[in-house]
Amino acid sequence: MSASLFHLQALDFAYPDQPLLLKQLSLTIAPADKILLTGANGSGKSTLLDLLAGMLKPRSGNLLLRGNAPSAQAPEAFRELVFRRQKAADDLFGLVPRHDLEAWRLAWPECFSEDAVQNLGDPLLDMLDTPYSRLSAGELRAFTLLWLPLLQDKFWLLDEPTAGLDASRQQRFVELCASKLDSGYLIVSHSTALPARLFTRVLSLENGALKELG
Amino acid sequence: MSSQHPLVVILAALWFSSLAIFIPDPIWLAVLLLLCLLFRGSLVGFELKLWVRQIGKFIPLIALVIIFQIIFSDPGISLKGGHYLDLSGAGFRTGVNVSLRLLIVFFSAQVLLRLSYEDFDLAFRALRLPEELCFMVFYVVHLIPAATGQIKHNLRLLHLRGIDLNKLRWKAKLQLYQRISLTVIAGLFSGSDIQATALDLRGFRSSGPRSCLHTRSFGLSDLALTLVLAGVTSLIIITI
Repeated sequence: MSASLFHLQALDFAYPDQPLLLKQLSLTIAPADKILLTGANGSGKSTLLDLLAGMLKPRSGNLLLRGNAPSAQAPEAFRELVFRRQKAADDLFGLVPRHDLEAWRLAWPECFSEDAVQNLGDPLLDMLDTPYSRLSAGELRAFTLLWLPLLQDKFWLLDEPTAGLDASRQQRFVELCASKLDSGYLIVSHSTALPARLFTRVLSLENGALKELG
Repeated sequence: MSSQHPLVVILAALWFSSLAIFIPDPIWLAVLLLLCLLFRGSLVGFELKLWVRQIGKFIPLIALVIIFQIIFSDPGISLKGGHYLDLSGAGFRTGVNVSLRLLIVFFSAQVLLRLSYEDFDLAFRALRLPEELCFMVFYVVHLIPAATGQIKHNLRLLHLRGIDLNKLRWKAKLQLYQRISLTVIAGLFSGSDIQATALDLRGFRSSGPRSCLHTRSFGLSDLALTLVLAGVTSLIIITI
């Protein structure tokens, strides 16, 4: 098994009929890396996350997840990752949060046992049967993050995870990240709620190129 | 989308799909498919790899149609007679016809899918038809692709959780498919509701003359395409 989780080499990406958004990106991400990815609006941060999760394919260059292209990977390869997009509703399965929970339980029956879920002690658990259409943007976001404590051993790819969250949920998210020891994460964020101590690497995406800031 | 007026594009797509249903001759159907591909290519580009991929997806269906027709149609010229089974030459011909029809309807529908709401609006305005009708037609045309997109999205969500549907037991698989279909249907209903509200907010039911940001007049290329379609129609009527 490859030591690096992701390996990008000379990666170019452009949306159809658009100029290059990402140019000659090279990057290696280890499973334990805790990375903050910053950059101006439209610089391609979310696109980079989509590429890492296999939602998009690079135009040229190499992008490998454990030695294989993510877009060509079988579902098993993604069992090491948790991917959360900017638009919370896009990450929730089914019509109500209980459907999402059941899908997670199907993937990880031992992690999502009834006891483990109840032990989360989150008030959101009382809203498992509320249709997504009746939840606020903040509640949808909170539901996408609700199961993270049960998925501590996965590498998290999170796009603006604190957007729309109230202060107490932001604080809980910070504590969750701080207590994550088994593996790392890559978080795209503009939020000042995430302190520098949560990250071992800070990357900035400018003009299609990555810059390591620290 | 192209230099063609959207109304002419819509009419041409309807012309292809209508003729595909009425023409009985496989040679004319093959010619029509070729013309349809040329028409689509001239509008949105000759994406040969995409065409091959799309036709490839139809192959199992085409094979199934032809096999069923050969087995179950009235004999016509018998291909191979047997005690229990009589393979039919007429069935083969019907199977080819049905397959060509499917491809023509598919490719002409693909042209309609490339038209934006604004294109439909321009076309219906040229016919002085109300915008409600334009909205309904546009929504129905995009219904299947929207549903397909939502199904793919939901399957992708399962994929990202590491769930391999092929390895699940039937009960779990059926439950997931039930969830996905309910989500897709609910999404389509709520989507149409939101779209209709958005149109209401734009005041399209208000009285008085309609204003528009973009206008489009008919050009020489529209006339040329109309003449070609009329010419082919006459040729088909004469020869069949």
